[in-house]
Amino acid sequence: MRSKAVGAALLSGFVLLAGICGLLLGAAPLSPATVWNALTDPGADPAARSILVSLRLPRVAAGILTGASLAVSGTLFQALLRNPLAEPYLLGVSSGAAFGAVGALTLGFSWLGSGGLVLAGLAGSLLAIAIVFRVAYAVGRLDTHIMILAGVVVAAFFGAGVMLLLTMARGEAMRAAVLWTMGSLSGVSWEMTVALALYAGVSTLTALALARHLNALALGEETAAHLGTRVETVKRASFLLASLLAAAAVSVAGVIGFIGLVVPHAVRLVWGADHRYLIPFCFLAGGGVLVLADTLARTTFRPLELPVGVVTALLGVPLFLVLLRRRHA
Amino acid sequence: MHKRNPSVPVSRTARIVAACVLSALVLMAVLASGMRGSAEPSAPTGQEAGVRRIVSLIPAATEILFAIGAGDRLVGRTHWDIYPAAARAIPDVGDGVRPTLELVVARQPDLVILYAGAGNAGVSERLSDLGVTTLPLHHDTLDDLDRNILALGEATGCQAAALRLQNRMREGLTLVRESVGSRQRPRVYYDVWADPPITIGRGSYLDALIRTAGGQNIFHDLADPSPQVSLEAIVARAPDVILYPVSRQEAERVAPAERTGWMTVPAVASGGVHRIDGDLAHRLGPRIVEAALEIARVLHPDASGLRELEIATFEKGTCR
Repeated sequence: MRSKAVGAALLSGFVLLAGICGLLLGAAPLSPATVWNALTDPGADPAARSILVSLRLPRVAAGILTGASLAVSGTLFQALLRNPLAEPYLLGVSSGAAFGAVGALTLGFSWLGSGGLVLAGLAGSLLAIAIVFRVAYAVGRLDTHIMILAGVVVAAFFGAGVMLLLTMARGEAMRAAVLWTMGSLSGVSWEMTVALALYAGVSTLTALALARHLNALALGEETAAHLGTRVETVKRASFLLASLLAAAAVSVAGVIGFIGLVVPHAVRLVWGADHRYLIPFCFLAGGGVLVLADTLARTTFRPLELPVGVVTALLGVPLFLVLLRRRHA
Repeated sequence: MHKRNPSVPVSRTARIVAACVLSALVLMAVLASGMRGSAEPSAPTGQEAGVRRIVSLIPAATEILFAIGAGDRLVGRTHWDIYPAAARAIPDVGDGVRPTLELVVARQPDLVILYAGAGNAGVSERLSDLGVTTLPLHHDTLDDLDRNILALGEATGCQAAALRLQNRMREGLTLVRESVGSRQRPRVYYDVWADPPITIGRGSYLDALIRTAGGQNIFHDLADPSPQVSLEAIVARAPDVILYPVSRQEAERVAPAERTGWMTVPAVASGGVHRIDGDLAHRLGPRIVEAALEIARVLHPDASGLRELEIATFEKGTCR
């Protein structure tokens, strides 16, 4: 119990620190004093103020929410499928989103603007989710084995669709599509951030309400049923929650790998597998990790930007391997 | 161990999930679509001549601005701007497609020139929301170039200089075309990329440039500006000449003769491969006239008029 309290404090501090780093550091070099003034004084230098208030702040907030969504989604998938390899993109959510967004870009719907692109991605991922759910749901029961197979196959199908669209795409649309699939938080606005906040907040709280039942599910479906859990309802709810969280994250920021797979494992290694703690801890850890990675992506090769997925994988994987090794030693 | 939970909360939870997620979804949709509110990018109007701080996110536009005498008003350029030399001294704001908005805003520009394409979807609205005036330009064809020179002239109040540049370029291209005359047009393969082979179709300005220089693009029938083709198709269309562009900052490219299988292309075996300056040809700016001349000289080495032709369309102009 005590270690859980320490964990909560540590992770909250981590997110706070990551957020402060994200606000202080960026492509435009601003001194901490300038940053503070721009954030607190409406009469501050308008350029600095619009950089902080309209660009950095929504980006940091969206980073926390995206990372949190991915990590919570990964946790739910791992619990639902009882498979350590499960992650938010396993069941075709990202391929569906990529298909939607790349389709919009290459078939000439770019006039829709960035909001339209988010919606196209969301539509694609919802389509993928619906197909997987329909296939895996038979006779009032969600079969997780069929779900994995259906998901992987649907992912492959939409992946091939993306390749097809890319081959047919004209030069400029192709570049835009490839940039989209690499994932980035550079396009987020306040509107998207607010939408994402509602979405991630509601979904995470609902997932938290299911935490006890997810713990029961870890013991096996039959045991969980004996323990009084409505297994099918919990499975359906966690599938939908996990998929929708992943869909929201991928629509806003593109495909950002690694966080959804590894953050839940890392948190579990340190603080155990009780979902009542795992879910909120993953929310914090995922958010902090993504904001830190994005800050590095924005500043390492300034003025150019790295795809944030590159940073999450390059730095996160070695860290995770060290953690794994420590635990087994 | 778990207490025997009454099963009621779960189903209630499930209903709450459904309701919340659905409403969140709808909200997200509404918000995301509402984002396009001030959709149409604001074209600079009114006090164009008063534009003092320009950020150019198109390297070719940077060249044009220098050529019409507005180069000294540039306060930002992309990472990829290398010409003219004075452009290097302007602060670098990174990429031109999906730009780092923070750096653009930090330059406090009163005009941002940016490429209007799928890659920049939403960028112009975003900048407008931040109170920055933008000039989004389609910049893909010779007509675009012609039009954009005037547009940039108008935006900066250098209309006269823009007209002079436009005329200089038209005259240059006419001179090249006339010097080639009615000579037989060699069949040209333009080697953009080796593996997979990528060339140019009629959607590319280079297709028109090759025609001006007295050649014919063997893939003119393809509409895509940069189509990927097969080596077999190249062999089947038997080009007389292969143009092989190399730009200065590019690592040395593998010449066609050294690539696996390329000896089957007749032009490769017979020495019809010519290296050209990729820096001239691949920037849709004032210097494409020089690129046309270079290509014309390669295609028609016997044309004496071309040998004596001296064209320099790029010069650092004055605004008035």
